[in-house]
Amino acid sequence: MRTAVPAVPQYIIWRDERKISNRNTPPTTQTQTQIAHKKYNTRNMKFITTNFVKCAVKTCDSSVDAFPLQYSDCQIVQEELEYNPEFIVHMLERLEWNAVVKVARDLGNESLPPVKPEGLDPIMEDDQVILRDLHTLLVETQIVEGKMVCRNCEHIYFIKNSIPNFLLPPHLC
Amino acid sequence: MSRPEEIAPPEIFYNDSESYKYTSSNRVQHIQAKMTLRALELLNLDKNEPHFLLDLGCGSGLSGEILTEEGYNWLGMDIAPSMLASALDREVEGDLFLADLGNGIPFRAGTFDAAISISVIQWLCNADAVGNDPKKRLMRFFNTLYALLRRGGKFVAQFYPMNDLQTKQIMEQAKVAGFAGGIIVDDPDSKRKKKHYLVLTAGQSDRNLNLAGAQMDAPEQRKMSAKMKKKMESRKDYINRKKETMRRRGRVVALDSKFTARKRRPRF
Ligand SMILES: C[S@@+](CC[C@H](N)C(=O)[O-])C[C@H]1O[C@@H](n2cnc3c(N)ncnc32)[C@H](O)[C@@H]1O
Ligand SMILES: [Zn+2]
Repeated sequence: MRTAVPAVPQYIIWRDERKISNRNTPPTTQTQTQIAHKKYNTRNMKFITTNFVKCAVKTCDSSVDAFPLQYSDCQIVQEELEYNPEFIVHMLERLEWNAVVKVARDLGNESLPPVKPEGLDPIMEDDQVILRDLHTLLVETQIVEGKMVCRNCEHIYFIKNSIPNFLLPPHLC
Repeated sequence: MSRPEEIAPPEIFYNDSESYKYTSSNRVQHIQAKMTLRALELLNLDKNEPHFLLDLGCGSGLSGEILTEEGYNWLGMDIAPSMLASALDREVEGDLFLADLGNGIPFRAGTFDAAISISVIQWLCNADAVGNDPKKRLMRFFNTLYALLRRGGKFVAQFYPMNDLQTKQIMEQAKVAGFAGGIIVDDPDSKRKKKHYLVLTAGQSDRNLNLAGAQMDAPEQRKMSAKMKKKMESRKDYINRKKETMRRRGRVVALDSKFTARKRRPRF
């Protein structure tokens, strides 16, 4: 069964009309304060990854607070990437939607629908709007810099130059 | 020649200059590509389905690039910042994480369909910091890997064991973590070309590992059934057939995009 999902794009955290698709023409202005424009086509941490990564500390393994991490001071970019509806549908099933909503809220978006859209078919025209929105949110929205904190042990993980750092200090290994 | 693991810890050994030397060498590129393709062959994933893969010790993304070309989405982890920096420079497609595999892999249960690791896990057998216990690190590695794979998920790792003891140690910890599987040796008679692949499954899989060529007595080639043929059709045929069925049922299907089952750049 399909959940009733509004046809208007609800999944976009930041609508950036000038997604970066050409590394040679860095955009000059910003549409919103939170959106940074990238000079290079390097990859960053995709939004979808926030739905999988948890605290690396062993004593947090069984804690329900070790996922999702809490995101703050994040610099976000949007980058145009190949639309692959089959992949979105494939991944949707394993997403924890509550965590999607929670992290989106950390990043400043309060308007995601509370229920996971279901029954989407990558080949059906009717489903393309939602699938494209999900693609923009999950794959094209990326974190370049920021902080992730474990709600259980309060360890801070940093995302720097597009790369999240999960190395642990000796006392946490 | 001594083994890299005996020279320095990985994050030190793979510094800027070594990372550059490694990544720009045609010979290295070729070997890593070949081993990655072999690992994929062993994984035997269904080409008609998308997959989310984990590349453990992804380095500068030589293995990851093959994954992209073969149509997989992936995420890579490595302990060497210089290697990850080259991966960024080379604009690989996967997310990159800086992490030590010996401290565990921080993903929640059932995240990945499969995992590969090319020329990495022998490093885990080394105690390169005070208080490092290889056995404990291997244990943490395999335990967290088992958890983050979907049930029936598979892991193939090409590695360079220093000796039989290392191979045994690795197998033992994998087994304790719950994996089933073993070691495949390609070109066992050539000292130079000989390659070890650890092949593991996490729980029952509906599609087995492809161990063809590894078995002594390969089963006879049987005639293809209709079901088999359906399995063999290309991804594009498959999508088009699915679309045609829907059209016949009077449903509106999405137009073929320029990306519909796009053919990837051929290797070599
Ligand atoms: C020979 S390179 C292979 C890189 C890549 N898989 C390829 O095929 O080109 C070995 C990599 O393993 C990484 N490595 C070694 N020990 C590691 C550890 N404990 N955690 C994460 N990565 C590690 C090294 O930093 C290095 O990038
Ligand atoms: Zn924690």
